[in-house]
Amino acid sequence: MARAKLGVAGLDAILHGGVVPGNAILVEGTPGAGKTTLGMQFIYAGITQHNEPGLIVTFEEFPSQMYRDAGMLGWDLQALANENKLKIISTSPAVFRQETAGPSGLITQMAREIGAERVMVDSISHFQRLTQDPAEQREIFNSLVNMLKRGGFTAMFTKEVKSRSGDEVSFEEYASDTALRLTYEVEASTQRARYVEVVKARGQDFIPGKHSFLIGRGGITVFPSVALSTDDDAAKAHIERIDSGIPGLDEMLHGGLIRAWSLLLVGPAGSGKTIFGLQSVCFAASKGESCLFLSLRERPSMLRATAESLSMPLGTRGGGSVDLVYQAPLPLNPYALVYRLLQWIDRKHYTRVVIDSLDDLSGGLGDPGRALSLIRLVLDELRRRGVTSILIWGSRSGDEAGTVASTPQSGLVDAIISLRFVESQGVVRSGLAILKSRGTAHSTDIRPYQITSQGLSVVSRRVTVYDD
Amino acid sequence: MAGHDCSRQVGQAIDNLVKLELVMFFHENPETLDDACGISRRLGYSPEVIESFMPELVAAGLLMQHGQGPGALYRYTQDPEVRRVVEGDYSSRYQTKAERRRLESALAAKGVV
Repeated sequence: MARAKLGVAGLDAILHGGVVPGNAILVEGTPGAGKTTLGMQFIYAGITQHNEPGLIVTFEEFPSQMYRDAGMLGWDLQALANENKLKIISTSPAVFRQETAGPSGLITQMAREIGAERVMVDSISHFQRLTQDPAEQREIFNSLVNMLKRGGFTAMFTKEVKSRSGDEVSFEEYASDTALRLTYEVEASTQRARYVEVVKARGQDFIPGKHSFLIGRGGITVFPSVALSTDDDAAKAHIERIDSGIPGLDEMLHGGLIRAWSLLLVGPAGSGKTIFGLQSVCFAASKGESCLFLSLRERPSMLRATAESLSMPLGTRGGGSVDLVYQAPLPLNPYALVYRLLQWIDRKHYTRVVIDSLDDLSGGLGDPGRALSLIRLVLDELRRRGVTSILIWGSRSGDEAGTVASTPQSGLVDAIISLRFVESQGVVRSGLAILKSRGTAHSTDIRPYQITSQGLSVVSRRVTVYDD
Repeated sequence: MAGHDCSRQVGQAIDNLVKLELVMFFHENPETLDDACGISRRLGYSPEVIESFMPELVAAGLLMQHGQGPGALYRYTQDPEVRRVVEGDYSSRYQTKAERRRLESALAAKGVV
């Protein structure tokens, strides 16, 4: 079926290519959520990408403000107006209704003058000026939708909502073909984040759920909260054992890691998680692999110093390489970072990736369900690309093995390794345990490990020293 | 209409601050189509004030009028010559606060505010 692309990266993917041409699209949202920006992008993309002239009708914002705001997003709407591909009409709801009611209406004529195929009305909340009677408001909106459909327009209407508790449904949602809800939510009590949700798309499938989006140069970019493809043929093609790069560990894993697996590395501060990750990617690079260490905690200079002190020079060597990327955890849109990470992987063909740390990445989301969804997205996309990942997770103490293994995120990863401190006879010792290795045999020992100038290595013997 | 005549006609019509604001509003938002009530809401004047000045702006060719009475609709002129005059004589001088004050003072000096 043909689709009219909205022109918003990510949102069209969620709608599997766009909306059915001629649809009436409702965009509801709280103040600042991005309704007008989405509407302008819909019109701008229609003109510039699909040669579909557009009409914007504004009841409140001045067209001059729209031209200015669009310019800041990189859209020269004035040039499009000069080329007769766009009109931004400033009017009142009553005049709009009157002048679109028939073929000789002035606004109908203005739309005809440019051959408009897309219309954006900002916002239908102003129809309340015409009447306070909900039944009449509904009738007004229905007749507007029908008028635009009769004209063959793909139309977008914005609507203001004061707050959104979740389940209430407006009559405009019933009358529209597609309904989008935009929210601008407080997240983790320190920052706000924007989300879009498709709540209705008549006659077509879509990906449900709330999806994060950013507004920047070029407009809105939506980051789908789930993997768009579940095709993981790259990972399934063959089971390939690969060296972890940690002496002694591969024996515990009965042959090493498995390519495209995700390994959750858990441990308290100072247990050597970052060294483990660095060592693994440096080892892979020495074998010719292209690797990435994404740090949300330590800066590259510190990581370089650590790597060099452990005789693990970073950079290009032996045909392979390790790239270090630092991203401050705040302010951070985790979804934006994940999609940037996937772009890097696609561009540089990384085969082994460390994320230090997963709790820093998902922590900014606040909502545990949303954090879990983000982790699922990361794992699905990495697996699909055949990337082996080491995901570092900070724990508060060394005694959380059972707790970690029972957390929701543990079910998503392929393997879990715990680094821990054990106090015994007045001495603090380090122990490594494999808590999970999906479908494969592995050692159940807790084995001591040491960090020397040569890096981290597991002592290849079972010890009972931890028993008091 | 010759450029000079057009300029003089526009200058005669814009003889107070409200008219200046009205013309600037339509010049900056040239696809506006609204009645006096809607325009008054945009500019913050009462509909009566807006209605009282519209006939002179229409007569001077600065605005177009569709219909009669309180429901009359107004649009900006489609005449490129008039638009050029407004751009050159007023719009470019309306951009900075200082220029705007000078323009407003000049109109105030005409005695009709």
